Amino acid sequence: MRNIIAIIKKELSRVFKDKRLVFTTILMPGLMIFLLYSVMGEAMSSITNPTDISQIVIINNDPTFNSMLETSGLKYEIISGDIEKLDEYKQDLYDGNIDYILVFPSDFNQDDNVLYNINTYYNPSNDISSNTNDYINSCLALLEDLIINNRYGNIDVFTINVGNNESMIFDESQMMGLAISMILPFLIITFLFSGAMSVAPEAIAGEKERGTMATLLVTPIKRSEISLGKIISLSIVSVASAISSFIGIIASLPKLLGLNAENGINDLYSIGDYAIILIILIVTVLLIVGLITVVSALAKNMKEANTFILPLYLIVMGVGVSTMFSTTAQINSVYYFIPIYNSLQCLVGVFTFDYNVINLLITIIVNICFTGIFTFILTKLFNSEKVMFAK
Amino acid sequence: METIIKLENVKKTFLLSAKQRKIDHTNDKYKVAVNNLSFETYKGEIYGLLGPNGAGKTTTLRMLSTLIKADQGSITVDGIDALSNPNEIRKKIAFLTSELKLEDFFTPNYLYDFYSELHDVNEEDKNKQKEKLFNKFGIDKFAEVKVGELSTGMKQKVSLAVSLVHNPDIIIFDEPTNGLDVITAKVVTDFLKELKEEGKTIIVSTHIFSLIEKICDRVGIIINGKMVKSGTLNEICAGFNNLEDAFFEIYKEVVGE
Repeated sequence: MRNIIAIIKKELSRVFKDKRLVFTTILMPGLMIFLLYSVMGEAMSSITNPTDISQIVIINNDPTFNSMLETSGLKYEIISGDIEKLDEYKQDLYDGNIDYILVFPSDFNQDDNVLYNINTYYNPSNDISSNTNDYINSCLALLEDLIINNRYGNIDVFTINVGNNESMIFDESQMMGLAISMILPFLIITFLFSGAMSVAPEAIAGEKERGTMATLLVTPIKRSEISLGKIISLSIVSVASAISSFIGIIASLPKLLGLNAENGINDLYSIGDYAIILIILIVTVLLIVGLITVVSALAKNMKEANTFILPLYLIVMGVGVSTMFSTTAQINSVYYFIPIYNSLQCLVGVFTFDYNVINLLITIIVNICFTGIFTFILTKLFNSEKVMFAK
Repeated sequence: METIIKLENVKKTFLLSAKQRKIDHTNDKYKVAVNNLSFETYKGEIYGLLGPNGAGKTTTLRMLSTLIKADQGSITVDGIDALSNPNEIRKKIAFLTSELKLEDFFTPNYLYDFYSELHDVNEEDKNKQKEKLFNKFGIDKFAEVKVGELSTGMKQKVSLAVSLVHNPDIIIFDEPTNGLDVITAKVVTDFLKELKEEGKTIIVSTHIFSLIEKICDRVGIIINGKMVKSGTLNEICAGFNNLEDAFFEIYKEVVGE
């Protein structure tokens, strides 16, 4: 135990006494994520909730259409147009000076036997113009329904939610949890892996390459003690990196999800939930570090180690993406025997307030077992001269 | 005389990669690095392993230090079998070779303390040995400088000190003066003689004749993985002016012109 602690202390000193390494491995990921996702959130928010006012030229405006547009939710300004100036308006649309042109026939809806044509003009390369086009088309569809009903009587079999603005009944925290569960588990696992990737190859393959591993191997310390010491210390560093990333995500999540201060996520989860998340993080990072250290030990040098690890990273990301397409955690306990996938599903369960204790326990036990297996393999590799001293 | 190190019919074979076969101009998949090697080292002597590059000296020492295992034969160090009890041997030996490096990020002070901990040296002994070695090699002047910022000679001194944290009775040095300036080389060789005076058993491998002549009690000449001659300097050099002449005559007999 004493030797394991000595190895852990040395490995942690190596990281935490190097200011540059602390910044690049631990602080920078969180900072970059916060900045990146905040900017992404702002950009997405401006697309879905445009603050710009749409400039719409309407020629021969219909009063009924006008009132539908008022209740549509679009922010707009109407410019009454003259059909003689249509070419001018088209040039303005092209130049971006206006966002939409709507041309009603001058005798629109005056004769029930006439098929009227309404012309619309918009600029698909302009976000505001495209957005306006969606709203206008919705309003025109409603107008058509209304005209049909007026002409031929009520031909609808049923209406849906007319006068009912409370059709969506939901727990806001559940909604937020759902949104979070589609993003966070993937991001957490990815950051755990990338955090481990940034330190583990150097600590194993790098030491082999430099010859410092051999210096350790001629001491009386057991190979198993070296394995455990390395895995535990690298896990601590990886968890620190993941926590930094996690904080960055949590801080930027309100912007990313378009949440305001009133419905922030600070009160969403309890201390117990965070404790469970931390346990999942710990057992997952131990597993990931175990895997990466084994792969690094097999490599001749750091470059080779990174080449071996990259496909694993892509596989883990691929598995992580699967959570983005489901809204609930797996119920079948069999799935919780699959490492990495089990951690993802547990996180989904926690974030959607629907985790199963048995599945959580299975995940913890399975991940610890796999960590034990990787530690055993790493010990054997440290004993193998073909692996340790291959050139 | 008490035998401390004993090798009997030790054999070590390496698998050659395609690239290595091309470099060596050979079709053989395996290279026999050490071939039925046998020799003994006695307590309190300095035994020199002499041979050309690729003779098997380093491989022999790596097997002695338990870094690698012999394919055949037996190796005992102070009565302990290297195959069945390598950890016990590691407690008793110091092994120093240019392939074993210290981490650039840490200082000599830190590394000395770290390796003392791994060797389970108590605080009092650690401080005593540290003071002795750091004074001896002038390490206290740069004890808080990171290893990466030290010169080759300084690094070698630190490696020497670190390998001796546990004050072992058996010291195995591979090319001890390799890459050192003349002054540092003298410091090292004089230190080896001091260790011998303390009753330590030392094996050094080298291709430098003057070093062998200066410090070794007995010599073993290894050529192509085999011990071709072993004995005192006088026995080896009998009939020759010096060790160098003796060696090349032996080499000619073994390898041909």
